[in-house]
Amino acid sequence: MKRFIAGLCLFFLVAAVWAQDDIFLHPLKAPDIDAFRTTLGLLAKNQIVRGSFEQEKTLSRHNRSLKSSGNFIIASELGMVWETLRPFPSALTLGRDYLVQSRPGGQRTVLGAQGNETFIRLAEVISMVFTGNAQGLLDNFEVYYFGNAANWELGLLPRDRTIASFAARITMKGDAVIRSIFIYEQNGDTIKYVLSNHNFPSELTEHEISFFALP
Amino acid sequence: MKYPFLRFHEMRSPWGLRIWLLVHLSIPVLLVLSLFFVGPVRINTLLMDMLPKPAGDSMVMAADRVLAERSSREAVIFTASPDFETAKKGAAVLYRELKNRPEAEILSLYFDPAVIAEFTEYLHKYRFVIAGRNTLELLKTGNAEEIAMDALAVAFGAFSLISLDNIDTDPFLLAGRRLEEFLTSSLLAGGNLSLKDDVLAAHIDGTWYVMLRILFTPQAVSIREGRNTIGAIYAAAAAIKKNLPHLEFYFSGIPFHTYESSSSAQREIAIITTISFSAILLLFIFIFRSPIPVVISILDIVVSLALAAGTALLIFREIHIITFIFGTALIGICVDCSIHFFTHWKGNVALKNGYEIRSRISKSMIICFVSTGICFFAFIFAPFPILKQFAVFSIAGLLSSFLSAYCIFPLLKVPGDKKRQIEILSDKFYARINGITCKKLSLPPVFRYIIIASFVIVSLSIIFFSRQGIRIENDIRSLYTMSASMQKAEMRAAQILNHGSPFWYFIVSGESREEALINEEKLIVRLEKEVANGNLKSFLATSVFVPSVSRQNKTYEAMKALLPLARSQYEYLGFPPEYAEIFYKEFAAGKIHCFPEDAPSLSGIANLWIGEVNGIYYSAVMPLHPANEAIFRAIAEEFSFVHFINKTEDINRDLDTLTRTIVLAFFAAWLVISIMICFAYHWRDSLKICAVPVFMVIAALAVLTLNKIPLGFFPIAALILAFGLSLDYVVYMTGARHHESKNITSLAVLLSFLTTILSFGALSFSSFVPVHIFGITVSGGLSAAFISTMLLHGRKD
Repeated sequence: MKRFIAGLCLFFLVAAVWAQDDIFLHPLKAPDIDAFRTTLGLLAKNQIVRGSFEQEKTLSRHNRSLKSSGNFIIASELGMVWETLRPFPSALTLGRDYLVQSRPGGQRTVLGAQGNETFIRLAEVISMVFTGNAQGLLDNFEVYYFGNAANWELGLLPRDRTIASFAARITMKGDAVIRSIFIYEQNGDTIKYVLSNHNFPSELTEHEISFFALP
Repeated sequence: MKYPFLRFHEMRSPWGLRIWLLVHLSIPVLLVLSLFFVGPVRINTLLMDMLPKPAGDSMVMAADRVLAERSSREAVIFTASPDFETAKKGAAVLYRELKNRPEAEILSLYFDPAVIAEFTEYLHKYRFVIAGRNTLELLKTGNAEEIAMDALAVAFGAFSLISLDNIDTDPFLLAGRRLEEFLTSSLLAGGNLSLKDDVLAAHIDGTWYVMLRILFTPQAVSIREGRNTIGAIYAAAAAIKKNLPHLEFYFSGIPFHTYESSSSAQREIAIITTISFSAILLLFIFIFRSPIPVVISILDIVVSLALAAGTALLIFREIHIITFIFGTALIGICVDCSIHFFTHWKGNVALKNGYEIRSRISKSMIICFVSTGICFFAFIFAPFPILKQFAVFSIAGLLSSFLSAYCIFPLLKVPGDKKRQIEILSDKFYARINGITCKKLSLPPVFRYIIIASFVIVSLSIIFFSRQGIRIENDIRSLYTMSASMQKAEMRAAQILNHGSPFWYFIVSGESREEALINEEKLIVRLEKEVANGNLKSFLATSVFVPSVSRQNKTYEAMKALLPLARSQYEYLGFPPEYAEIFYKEFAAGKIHCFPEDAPSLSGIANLWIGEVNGIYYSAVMPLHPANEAIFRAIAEEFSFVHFINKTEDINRDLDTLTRTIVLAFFAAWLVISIMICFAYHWRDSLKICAVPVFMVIAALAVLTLNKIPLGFFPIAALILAFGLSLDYVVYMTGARHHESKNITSLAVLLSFLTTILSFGALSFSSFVPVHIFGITVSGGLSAAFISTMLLHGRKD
C-alpha cells in the first residue's frame, strides 16, 4: 500500500513537472513565427502599460513562499517600474542604462551602467519581454511558443550564461497583454507574477515620471 | 715546438704572457667555480630591470618591489570581434590551450556562478564582522530597523538581485548588502567590463572584447621560459585567428613588452655584431692585405667579448639583454689596440720586431687604456643596472684587448721588409684613386684653424638658437618606446579597463598585520574626504574587503543592534520563532575574524596586500581617477605610515640631481686630466689635447640639440665616454708627432675612428632609446674629436 501511495505521489510530481515544462516542448519554428511576431506586436502596441501585479517568490530550499503585490508601469521610451506596495513598500526602476532601487523611507540607490552592466542587461532582457522586442528575444533566448495571438504561451531559455544564473527559464502566458510570468532560478526558486488591471494611458503622471528621475 | 708566427724564444720577459694567462684563465675558472658555490647566472630580459631603483626608504622600496614583481608577471589578453560569440570562442580556445601550461600560475576567463558563490560564501561566513560604511552608520545611529526594512523590501520586492538562499540564517541579508558594495568596488566591477555569458566582456564602438587574465610564474618571465610561453601564446593566437575570421587579439602587460623588447634586442645584437664584424673584417683586409692582422684582431675581439661577458656574469650573476646591445660597441673600441700595433707591424720598417713596436706605442696605449677605463669606471656609480654592467663589461673587454696587444702581439714575427708596406699610405695608391699626391692632401695651418673655427661657430650657433631646448631633464618613460602594435594594444586595454589608475599609489606600513590594516583604514577615511570633494573617484584597498580585527570587533558589537529585531524579522519572512533562536546562537558563535588570505581569489586582494617584508607589514592603496597628484602627495605627508610612491617621478627627480652632479664632475675630471696632461706634454701639445674634448662636447651638444634630445642622464654619460675615447686620438697623434712614422699613426687613428664610429653609429639605429642616445652622442662627439685632432695634428709629412 505504501508503495502504491509513493508511486502515486511520484506520478503526480512527474505530471506536474511535465505540465510545467510543457511549453519547452514547442520550440519556435517557421510556421509559428508569424503568430509569435503578431503576439509581440500586440504587446508593443501600447507605449505605456500600467497595471497591478501579485508576486509569489517560492524559496525551494526553505520550503517557503513570499507573497507581495503592487503596481507596474511599462513605458517603452523610459523603462519599467515595479512598485511593491504590500506587505513592504519598495520600488525598482529599470531604466535604459540605470537601475534605481527605492527603499522604505525614500532612500534610493542608483546602479549606473558602468560596473553594473550585468544588472542593466538583465533589466534590458526583462524589458524585451514586456515591450515585445521580438528580435531582442530571439537574439538573447532560445524561444518556445505555443498558441496564437489571442491565447499564447511563451518559453524563454537565456543564451547568456550570466543571465541564466539569475533566470534559468522564463515562461509567460497572455493574450493581448501579459497575464502571468514564471521565472525559474538556477537554485530551484521560482518567482510567479500574475498581472491584472491593465490599462493604457497616453502619458504618465508626474508621480510615475518621478520614478524614472535619477536622485 | 715552434710556432710559425710566435717568437717565444725571443720573449724579453715571461711576465707578460703569465699576466695574460692569469687574467684570461682566472675569470673563466672563477665563473665556473661560482656556478657551483654561488649559483647559476642568467641573461636578464625583464624590461623593468633596466630602470634604476628609486631612492627613498629602502624598507618601503623592498615592499614595493614585491608588488612590482607580481605586477610584472600579470598580463591581459583581449579577444575582439564585432560578434560576441566569436570573441568569446577565441578567448575560450586560447584558454584551453594555456590552462594546462605550468607557466600560468593563474589563468582566468570564466566568471561563472562559482565565482559569485565564492564571494557570497565569504560574505556570509563573515557577515557579522564585515559591513559597509553605510550599514555601520545605520547601526551606530540607532537605525537598525532600516536595515531590517531594507531586507524585507528586497525579499518581497520585484526582481531582487540579491540571493535569498541564506535568508534562514541571514534574515537581514547582510551578506547581500555587502555584496552590492563589494561588486561595485572590487576589481570585478572595473571599467567598461561586465559579466556576459560567464566571461568579462565589453562592448565598445561596435566591437566585443572578452578578457583573459594571466599571472605567469616567476620562472615563466625569464628569458628562455618567457620566450617559450609568450611565443606559444602568440602562436596559439595566430592559429585561432586562422579559424575565426574577424577575430583580433590585443596583448597587454609587462610580460609581452619584455618578450618584444628581448626579441628586438637579440635581433639588434645579431645585426650590429654582424655589421661591425663584417665592416672591420673588410677594412682590415683592405688595409693590411694579410691574414695575420685580420685573424689575430678578430680573435682578439672574440676573446675580449668572452672575457667581458664572463667578468660581468661573475660580478653581477646576470647580464641584462640591453647591456649586450651596449656591449657590441666594445667591438669597435677593443680593436683599437690591434690597429695601432698592426699598422706599425705592417708599415713601419724602422721597427724591427714586436717589442720595438710596443715600445713605440706603449705610452699612448697605456694613457688611452687608463683614460678610457676611467670613463667606463665612472658608469659603475650610475644608478642604472645596465650601465653598471656595461662598465664592467667594457673595462674587462678593454683590459683583455690591452693585455693581448701589450703581452701577446709583440710575440708575433714581423713580415719581411718587402712585405711591410701599407698600400694606402703610398703615393702610388693616391695617384691611382685620385690622381693626386699626398702633398695635395696637406692644408696650410691657417686653413685648418679657419675650418676649426667655422666648425665651432656653427656648433655654437646651433646651440645658441636652440638654447631653449637645452635643459637637464630626465624622463624614464621615454627610455622605452613600444612598437605600434603594442601601443595600440595598450591603448585599447586602457580604454576597456578604464580603471583610471595613475602611475602613483600609496604604500601603508605597520608593525603588524593588524596595525597595517588599521593604518590603511585611517588613510581611507582621509581619501573618502577627497572622494566627497570630487578629487578622487574611488580607490582600491585591502581593508575595504578585509577590515582590521579592531574594526571587525566594532562591527560585531554594532551588529548587536539587530538582535532585538530578529524575531519579528523571521516572523515577517514566514519563519517559525525557533529560527530566531538559531540566529542568536549563530551570532554568538559568529565573532570569527577574516584575514587577507581568506578573501575570495578574484577580489583583487593579491594585487594590494603585500604582507610581511623584513618584519614590517605593507599594503598598497590604489587611487582611481584622481584629480591632482599634489593633493595626494600632501595627504601622504600627513601620516608617518603612508608612503607616496611615484617611481617615475621620483626616479626622474633623482636622475636630474645625478645628471647635474655628473656634469660638474665631468668638468672637474676634464680639469684634472688637463692638469695631468700639462705635466706629461709640452704646453702646445697640452693645449691641443685639452682643446679636443671641448670641440667634442660642443659638437655633441649641437647634435643633441638638433635631435631635440634633452640633456638627460644617458646623453651626459655618453659624453663622458666620448671624452675618454676622443682623448685616444689626440694622445696617439701627439705621441707620434716627433717620430717619422706619423703617417702610420694617422692611419691607425683613422682606422680606430672608423671602427669605433661603425660600432657606435650602428647603436644610433637601435630601437632602444638609451642605446640610440648613446650611439648618436658618442658618434657625434667622436666625429668632432677625430676631425679636430686631424686638423690640429694631421698634416701629412
